[in-house]
Amino acid sequence: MPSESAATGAVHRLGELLGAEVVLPDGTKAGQVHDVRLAGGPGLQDYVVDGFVVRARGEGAFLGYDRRAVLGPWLLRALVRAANRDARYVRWRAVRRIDWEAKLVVVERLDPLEDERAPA
Amino acid sequence: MKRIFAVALGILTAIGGFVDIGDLVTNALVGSRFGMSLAWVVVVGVVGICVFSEMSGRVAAVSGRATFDLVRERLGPRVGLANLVASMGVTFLTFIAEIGGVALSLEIATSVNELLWVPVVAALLWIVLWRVRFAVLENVFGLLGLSLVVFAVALWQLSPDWGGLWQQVTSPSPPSGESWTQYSYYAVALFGAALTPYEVFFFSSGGVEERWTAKDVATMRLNVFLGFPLGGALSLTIAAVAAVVFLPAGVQVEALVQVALPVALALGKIGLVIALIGFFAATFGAACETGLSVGYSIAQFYGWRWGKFVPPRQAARFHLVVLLCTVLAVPVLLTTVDPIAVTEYSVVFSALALPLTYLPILVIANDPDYMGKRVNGRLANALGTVYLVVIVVASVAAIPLMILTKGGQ
Amino acid sequence: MTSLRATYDAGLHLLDRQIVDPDDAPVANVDDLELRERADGRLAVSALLTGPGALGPRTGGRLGSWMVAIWRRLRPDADPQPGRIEARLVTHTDSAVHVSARARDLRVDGFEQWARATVIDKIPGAGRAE
Repeated sequence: MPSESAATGAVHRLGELLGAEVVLPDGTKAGQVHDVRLAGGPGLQDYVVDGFVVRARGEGAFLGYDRRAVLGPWLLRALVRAANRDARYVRWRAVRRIDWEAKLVVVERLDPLEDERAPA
Repeated sequence: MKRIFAVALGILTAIGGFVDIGDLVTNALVGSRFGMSLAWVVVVGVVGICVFSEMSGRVAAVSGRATFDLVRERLGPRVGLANLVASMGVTFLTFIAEIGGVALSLEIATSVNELLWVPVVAALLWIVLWRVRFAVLENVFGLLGLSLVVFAVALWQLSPDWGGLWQQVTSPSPPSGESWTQYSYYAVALFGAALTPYEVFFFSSGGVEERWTAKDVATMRLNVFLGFPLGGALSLTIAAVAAVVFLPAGVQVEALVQVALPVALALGKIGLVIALIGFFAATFGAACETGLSVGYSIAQFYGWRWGKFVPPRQAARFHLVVLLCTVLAVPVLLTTVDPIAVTEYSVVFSALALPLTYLPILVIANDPDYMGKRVNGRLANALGTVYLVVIVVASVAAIPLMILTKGGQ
Repeated sequence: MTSLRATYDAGLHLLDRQIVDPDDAPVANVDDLELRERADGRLAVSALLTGPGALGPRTGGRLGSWMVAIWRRLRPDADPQPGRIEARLVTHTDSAVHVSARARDLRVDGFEQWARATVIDKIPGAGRAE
C-alpha cells in the first residue's frame, strides 16, 4: 500500500474547482473548469487529480453526456456534440497554480480533449 | 400454473390501477362537452405512458436504480433540485386531489359531507401506508378498481348510437359551442391525466423494492402493454357514457356524482354502488401511490434509505415525508376548495411538468453504463423521441391555454 | 470482479452518485469529494462528503448559502463538518459507489437519526418490516 503518500497537507473540496476560471499566465481567459479527471490507484485514496476538462462557456454537463459517444436518439447526440465542440484538457503538469480563494486556475497550456468511447 | 396466476394478477391490477381521480374527472368532463372528439388524445397518452413505463421499468430491472436516483446523477445538484421541487409539487397536488376524490366518493355513498371525510381519509391512508404490505396494497386496490368495468357495461346497456359515437371519434375537432382554444386546453388536460409523472416514479420504485432483474422485464412488459391500454379503454368508456348522457342535454360534468350518473341511469342502484366502489378503489389506490411517490422522489434525490420493504425506523426520513404530506393535505382540502377544481389543476400541471421526468428517462435508457446491452432499441428510441416532442409541445402550451380559457371555461 | 475505473471524471462518474453498503442499502449521495494536498503537491482524494454541509456549497448561489445556513443552525457544534466517508472504504464503482462499511456504522445520517428519534420511533410498529 503506498502509504508514504499519506496526505497531510491542506484540505479542499472538489466542488471548489468546478466552475473555476482558467487563465493563461499572461491573464488570457481560457474558459472554466467543467470537470476534474482523477487517476491512480489501487485504492480510491490513491487517486489524484490528473487534469481539468475546460470549456469556454460555463459548467454543468448536458445531462452528463458531453464526452461520451453514447448511442442513442440522434437528436440528443447532435445536440450534445454541438454543445461540446469547445472542450479542452489541461494536464496536471501544465497547471502553474491554483488560487482556491479566487477560484482561479493558472495554466501553461491546453490540449485537445479525446472523446471517451462508450463500451461496445 | 402459479406463474400464469401471478402474471394475470399483474395485468388485472395494472388495468384496475390505471384510472385515478384525474382520469375520472377529465374524461367525464371532456365527454360531456366534447363528446368523443378528444378520444385520440387518450390513445396518444396511453401509448406514451406505455413507452415510458416500459423504459423506466427496464431501467429499474437492469440497473437496480429507481428514476429519481438517476435524475440527480444526470442533471446535477442545481437543475436536479429544480426538477425535484417541480415534480414533488405536482405529485403533492395530485395527492391532495386524490384524497379529495376519496372523500367525495364517500360523500356520495353516505351523504356525509366531504369535509368531514377528509381527515378520516387522510388518517386511514396514512395507517395503510404505514402498516399494509406493498403487495397487498397494489393487489387489493388494483382488483377493486376493476369495478370500473361497470362503465363499459353501462355503455352497452345505454344502447348508444354507435355510428354517431364513432363519427365523433374520427372527427377530431371541437363540437359546436366549443372553440379550438378550449379543445386544445382539454387535449392538454387529458394528456396530463393519462401521462402522470408519479406513475413512472411509483412503477420504477416498486420495481426496485421488489428487486426486479433482467428476467422480470418480460412480465413487466406484459403488465404494461396489456394492462395500461385496457385501463385506457376504461377511461374512454367513462368519457363515452358521459358523451351519451350529457352531451345531447348540454350538461357539463362538474361534480363527481355526475360522473357516476350514467351508470345509475343504465344499471340502477346496483350499478351506482359498483361504480362507487370503483371510484373509492381508484382514488384511494392513487392516493397511496402519489403519497409514496413524493417520499420516493425526495429520498432518492438525497440518497436516503426508502421504501416499504424495510422497517419504518430504518427509513425514518422517508416515512416522515409521507407523514408530513398526509398531514399537510388536510388543511388544504379543509379550505373548502372544490376537489374537482384541484383535480383539473393537477392534470394541467402534470402536463407542464412532464418533460422534467421523461427526458432523463429517455437519456438513461440509452446509457450502456446503466443498461448494459439492454439499452433502447430503435423502436423505443423512435417512439421516445416522438413523444418527447409531443410532451414538450403540451408542456409549453399548458399555461398559455389555461390563461386563455380561464381554466377551461 | 468489478473494481475501480482507470480514470474518473469526477463530475460525470462520482459526484451525485448513490453510495451503497455491502447489502446494497443506500447510505447517502456523493455530494462532494474531499481532496488533500500530498507532500508531492498532488491533490489526492481523501474522502466522500455528504449532506447539506457538502451539497450546499456545491449547489452555490443563494440557495446553496441557505442550505448551509440552515444546516449550521441545526447542528449543535460550533464548526460542524459534513458527513465524511474515508476514500479507502470504497470497494468498487458501477452505477453506484460501493463502500465496505455498513450504513449504520458510517454515521453520516444525522437527519435520519433525528427523524427516527423524534417522530418515527414514537409510532407503534416502527420496528417491524412488512
